[in-house]
Amino acid sequence: MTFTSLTFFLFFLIVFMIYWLLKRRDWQNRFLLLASCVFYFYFDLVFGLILIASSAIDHLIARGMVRSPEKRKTLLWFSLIINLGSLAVMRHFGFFAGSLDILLGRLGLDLNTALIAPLGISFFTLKKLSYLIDVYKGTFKPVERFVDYALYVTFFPQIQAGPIDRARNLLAQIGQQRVWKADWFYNAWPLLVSGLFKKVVIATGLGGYVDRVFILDQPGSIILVLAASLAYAIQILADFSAYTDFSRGFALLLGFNTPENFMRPYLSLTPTDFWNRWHITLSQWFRDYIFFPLRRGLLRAGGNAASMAAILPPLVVMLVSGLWHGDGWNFVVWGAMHGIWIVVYQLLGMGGSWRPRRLWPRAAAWLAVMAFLIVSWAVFRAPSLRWLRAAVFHAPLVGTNDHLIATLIILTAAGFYGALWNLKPFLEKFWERLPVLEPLYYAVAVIITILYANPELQDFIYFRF
Amino acid sequence: MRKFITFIIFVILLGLVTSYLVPLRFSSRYPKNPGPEFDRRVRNNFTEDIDKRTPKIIFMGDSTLEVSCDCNQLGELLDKKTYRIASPGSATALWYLILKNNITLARHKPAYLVLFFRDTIMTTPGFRVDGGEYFDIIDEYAAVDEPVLLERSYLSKMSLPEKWMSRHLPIFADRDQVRASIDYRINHTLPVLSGCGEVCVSNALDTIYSVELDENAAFLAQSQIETYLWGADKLLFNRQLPRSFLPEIERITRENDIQLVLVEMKNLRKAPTITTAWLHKLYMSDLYAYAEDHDIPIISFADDPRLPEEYFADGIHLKREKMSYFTNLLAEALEPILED
Repeated sequence: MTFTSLTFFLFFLIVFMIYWLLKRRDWQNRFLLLASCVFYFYFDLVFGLILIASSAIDHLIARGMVRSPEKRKTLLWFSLIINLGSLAVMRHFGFFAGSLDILLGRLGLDLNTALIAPLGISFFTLKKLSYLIDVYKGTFKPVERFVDYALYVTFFPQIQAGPIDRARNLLAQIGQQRVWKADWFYNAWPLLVSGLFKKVVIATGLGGYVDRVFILDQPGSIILVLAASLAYAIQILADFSAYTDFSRGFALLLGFNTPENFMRPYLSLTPTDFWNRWHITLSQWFRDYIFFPLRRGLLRAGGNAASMAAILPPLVVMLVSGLWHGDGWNFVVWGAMHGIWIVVYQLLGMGGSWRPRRLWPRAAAWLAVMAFLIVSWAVFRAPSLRWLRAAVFHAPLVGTNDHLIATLIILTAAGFYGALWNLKPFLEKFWERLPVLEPLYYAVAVIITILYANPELQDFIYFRF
Repeated sequence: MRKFITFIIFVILLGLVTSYLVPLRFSSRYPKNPGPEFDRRVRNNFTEDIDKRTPKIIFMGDSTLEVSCDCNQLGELLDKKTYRIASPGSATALWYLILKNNITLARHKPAYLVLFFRDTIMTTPGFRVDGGEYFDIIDEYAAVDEPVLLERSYLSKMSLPEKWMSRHLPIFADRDQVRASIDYRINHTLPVLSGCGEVCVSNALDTIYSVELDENAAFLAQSQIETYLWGADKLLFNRQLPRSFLPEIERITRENDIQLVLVEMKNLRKAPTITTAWLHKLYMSDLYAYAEDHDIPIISFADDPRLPEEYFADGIHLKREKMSYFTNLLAEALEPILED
């Protein structure tokens, strides 16, 4: 039941109407939890039950931290082992499926499964951990009602692929009375139209061009791979930001303000700037729970360790980020590349706020960032490192005339869909002076979306992570 | 509020403008019947072939049949004339059409029709019917008027809004044509500037993309497509059965004195969740019960240990060098079913 399906539309319509008919906050929360469970159970009943059970354990742990402060550390370790353990096992160990098969087989249940990870596990695990760590540190008071916490974890607009909301934002809103305001709708509809346009037109339109290069055994030309990677750069941003737009739009219709995940990341001039604009809620999570504690620890340790404070934290964070995205070696290499990239810029004194005043150096900085990103997306999207090695080291730069034609076609597609997408930021500059432009833009987006409508749309890319 | 109302007015206006321009550009008439239109021509190459070869057994299936079964060898092993209709990318919609519009029209009737299937293919009528090549081959074997095909493969997949838009909204109904013209421009604008015309572009794309695929990437892409067969609704046999071609295929073969036999092929895809695996088990037991009720023998290689993973080229296809080996297994399994 993805956000673009008619099934979801009907599901949401029913939830929306009943939800706003319930006036009391506790009933609204109970109903939203029920709806979130239905949404998740639609994906898989067993995983849904595991999610609820693990949320109950978290809740008891958080309450336990308050009741027995002397056991806080033990409880935190326990929760870290449970949550990170299940994330590691379910996401990164293919043998888990085989082992489960054997176990079930011994019980006489030969089901022949190859378990995929529970939907959204990478996202809701980070949400759960941030809550538990904040409670441990005393920066957030644990909620009393299990319903509130379970809703925070399972909140259906966010469960599949974030945004990775924090307890202080979402749980705080769950604890408040929510009353219907027309503003919820007026802020939500542009997000929903925009999400639909980005997913159906841009991401899907480019997907075909990208997929058919990365499925080849031997692409036979470096520029063909780079062109496909440029198209992928646009596709993945359109796809994931579309999901975020939907998530935020549906949350708004239920009276929740949830965080933005992207702020035009391809306009970045430095790597730190890029990570401040790309998948913002994930970057902030890593910053608050890995980067800062590690940096503080190194600085406190002094000596050689302190001198590593500028190098080690970004490297560790980006390696973890790579592993968070997948279990192939290309994700590790992708993470390492980004880590090294950040460190090099930091050492050159070009941190996040670095911005040349003059146009040409700014343009050069932007080109350098884009060049790196296109290469790194090729690593990220490649089916394997072996494939990438063959594509880079055993293929000519341009290849045959046929390769050149195929490259030109992909570049045209990237230009066409990229231009369609960039129409909005371009027109936004005139929206205040010419207010009619904004609704006109969204109306055109709707018409183009109808043109690209496909009932069998593929899932969002980030559902895999 | 004002912004939203203006937006709605613009959507209506643009809808009206495109409803005038699109039919003008593509010479289409509205309201249209929802679903695809089939041309008058019906290919009957199999009818002629069957009359010429007079087979006792016809094997039908997709590429999994093509790479796994050597028809001549099988004929020798069984001492019977055999004929193979293996159409890559096909599924029950095409098999139903070939049975109805080719096999039953032949003067010679085979004694057996052996269908190769996997997972829920037999009751998933909407599998492999949409989009370029899939539709083209369906169109080749479909007559102008195919109410069962239209209903089961196309209309049953459409929601009410889709049906309404297909009937009345040109920008939706003709979207394939509009998009084809956009794709044409994307494919030709820059190459034409470099002196590469339509044929040159087509040849270049064929050369680049019609080559060997990366094994892992192809497996993933194939899994993505085959995921359609694992949808929760597809796994409910009794819900799917009346909407599928299986009852029709069973009826046509029965009325023509052809014994239907099903062969469940092994594939390496496994259920992604425990619930799916459980539903799949239930599905298969319902399918077997249906087959028993209708005297349709099923030969299953689904869990056959004689076909280990290393015998497969990808998730669903056996390696070509295993064709002879599998043909022997198939002959062995078919022998007790076939009457003399």
